[in-house]
Amino acid sequence: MLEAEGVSKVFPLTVGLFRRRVGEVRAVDGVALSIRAGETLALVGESGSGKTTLAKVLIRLLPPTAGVIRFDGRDVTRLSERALRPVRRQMQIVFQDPASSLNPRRRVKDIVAAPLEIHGIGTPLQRLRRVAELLERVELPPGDFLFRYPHALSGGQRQRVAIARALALEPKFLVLDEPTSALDVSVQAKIVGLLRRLQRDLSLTFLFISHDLSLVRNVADTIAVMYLGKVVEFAPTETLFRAPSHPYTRALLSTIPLVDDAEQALVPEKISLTGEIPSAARIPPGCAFHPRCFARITGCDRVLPDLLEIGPHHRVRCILYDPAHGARGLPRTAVRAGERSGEPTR
Amino acid sequence: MRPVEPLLAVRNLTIDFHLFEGRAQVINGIDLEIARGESVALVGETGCGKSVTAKAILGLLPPNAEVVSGRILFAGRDLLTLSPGEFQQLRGRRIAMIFQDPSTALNPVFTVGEQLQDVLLQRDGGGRTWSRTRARRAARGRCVEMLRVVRLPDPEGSLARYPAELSGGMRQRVLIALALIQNPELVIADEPGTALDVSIQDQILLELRDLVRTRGTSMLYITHNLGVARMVSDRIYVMYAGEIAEIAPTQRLFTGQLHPYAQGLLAAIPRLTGTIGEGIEGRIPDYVTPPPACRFEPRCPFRMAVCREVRPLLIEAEPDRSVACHLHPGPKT
Repeated sequence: MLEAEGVSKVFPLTVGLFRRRVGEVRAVDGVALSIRAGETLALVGESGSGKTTLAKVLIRLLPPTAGVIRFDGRDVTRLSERALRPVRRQMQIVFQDPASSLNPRRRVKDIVAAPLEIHGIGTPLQRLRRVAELLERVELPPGDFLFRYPHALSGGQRQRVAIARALALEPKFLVLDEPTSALDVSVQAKIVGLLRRLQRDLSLTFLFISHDLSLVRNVADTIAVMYLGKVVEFAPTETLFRAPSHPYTRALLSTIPLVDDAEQALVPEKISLTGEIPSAARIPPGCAFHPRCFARITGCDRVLPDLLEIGPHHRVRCILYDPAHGARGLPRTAVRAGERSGEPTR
Repeated sequence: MRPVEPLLAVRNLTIDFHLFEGRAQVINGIDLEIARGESVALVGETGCGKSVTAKAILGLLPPNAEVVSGRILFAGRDLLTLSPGEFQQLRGRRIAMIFQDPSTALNPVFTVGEQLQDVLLQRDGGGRTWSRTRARRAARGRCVEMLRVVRLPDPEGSLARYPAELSGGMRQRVLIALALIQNPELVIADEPGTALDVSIQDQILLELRDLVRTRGTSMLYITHNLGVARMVSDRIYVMYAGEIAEIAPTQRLFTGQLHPYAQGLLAAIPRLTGTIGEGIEGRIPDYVTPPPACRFEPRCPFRMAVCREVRPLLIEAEPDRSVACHLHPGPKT
C-alpha cells in the first residue's frame, strides 16, 4: 500500500531578517518502511523522535527533503499539489487532540461534511445523508449528534467525530496520530475497539503513531521503533515483544508502568535510562542512542550501523548485531531485574 | 484504645460548585486517611474530583466552590477552620504540592535558585534587608543540597539558570526539590511526570518514591494511571464521580477488584500480553443532576433495582479493603 525509501526531512534553523542558516534539525533521517494493505504499522517513540513528522511526510502534508514515497505502487514524492488531490482522498489523518482539531464554531454535521464540500462531492442533502451514515459508522446516533457543537461532546465522542471526518472521502489509508493519548483508558479501549471494527469492515490500512508500547501491542501488526529520526528496530509485533533486540527498545519496554504479573514476566529486566533524549538539532555522532545506552561498546560513538536483518522481517540498527563487530547481540537479560544501570550508588 | 492517629484524615467531605447550570455536587461525602510515612494513590479518570480533593486539602479551592460539610484533619487540626494566615503557615512547610506541568508551574522570570530560596526563606516572613541577604547566603547551601538529592545534573550551576534553560525532566526535578526543601510531612503530587516521556517519567517516579520513603514523608499521589499508582503507592483509593468506590492495599487491588468500576477500569488498560478490554459504556454523570443513589449505576453491567434507590456506603468487605457497592453487602452484624 505504502512504501518509503530513504525518506528524510530536514528543517533548517535560521536566524535574523535574512534567515541566515545556522544549523539544521534532522527530524527524519533515511527511513525505509512498507505497509501492506489492510495492516497496521505502528511508529513508536518518545517526543522528538520524529514519528509525527515522518507520518506527515508519508502522506505529503510535508515535502520530503530526500527519499521516495510510493502509494499504491505510484511514486507520489514529487507530485504537484494539483496532481496530489486525488491521492489525498485516499489518505487521511486523525490528530491527537480532538479538542483542538475540531472547529468549535461549527456543528458536527458541518465538521464531518467539510472534506466532501472541499472536494465538491454531492448536493447538500446528499452530504447530510452521508454524514449521518458516517456517524452511524463511528457509533454515534446521528439524531443526537448532527446538530451539536464540539463543546457539547465528551473527549471520546469528539474523537469519534474526527474519525468520521477522516472517513468521509472513503480513504484506504489512515494516519492515526496518538488518537487516544488525550483520552481516559476506559474511553481509549472503546476507541480501539471501534478502530478495529472499522479496519475490518472497510479494509483500511493504518499508520498508528504512539508512545505507548502496551497500546501498540494491541493494535499493530508491525512496529517501527524510532529514536531521533531513525528507525532503530522494525519487527512484527509478536517478534518485537518476544525478542526485543535494540537496547533502546529494551529500555523503553522496561519503563512502562505495568498492572499485572503476566506482563511483568515479559519484562524480566529493569533498565532505567539516564539522561534525556537530545535535541534533534544536536544529534550525537555515531549511534544517536549511545550516550544513554547501557550496552555501549567502543565504536558506538563513531559507527552508525545499518538496519541489520537479524530474523524474519526483524531488523535492528545496533552495532552489537553487526557481523563486522562480532554480532554478539544483546543478552536476553542484560541487566538483572531490580538492578539499574548507569546510576551512581547512594 | 484508638489506633495511631493518621497524619491526614478527610471525613465525609462534601463540596459543591456553584455553576451557571446550578449547584454541582462535585465531591459527595468522601473519606480518606493517610498514615505517617504512607504513600496513598488517589486514582480516577478525568472529572472524578481527584484534583478538587487535593485542592481542598491545600485550601486552594476556587471561589465558586463551597464546602458543604466534612472535616479535613491534618495532625489533629481541622484545616477547614484555619484562617488564611494560618493556612499560609502550613502550606509549603508541612504540606507541599508537586504540580503536574513542569513547564507552567515554575516562574519563568526567576532563576531556579531564587525560586528555591523564596520557598526556604518564606519561613522567616520578610525581615530586614541585611538579615535577608545573610539568610539567602545560608539558604544557598541548602538549595544546592536539595538539587543534589533530586539528582539534577550540575546542582551548583543550575541555581543561576532560568526554567527555560532546563529540559522538561530537569524542571520536574526542580519542582520536586521545591516541594521537599522544607521537609514537609505530607506531599501532594498531582500527576507529576505525565507531561514527560515514559523513560523520564519512570526515572522520576522511582526517585520520588524512594525519596519520600527514606524521608518518612507521607504522599498523596493523584493519577489516572493505575500502572503508575502501582509503582508509587502502598494503598489505592479508586474514585468515581466524586465518591470513593474502592480502597485497597496496592498489590491486592491488582489481583482482584471488588467494585465494578475498578474492574472495568483495570480491564480497559492495554496489556503487554496483548489483551485490551471493552472499555466502560457511557460517560461520567452530570454533577448538577447526578444519579440518585449509586453514581455508577447508569454505566454498571451488574446494576440492580436497589442501586437506584439506596446509596451504597463504603464498608469493609475484607480486612483493610473497603468498597461502596451493593454487590458487597459486607459482613453481617
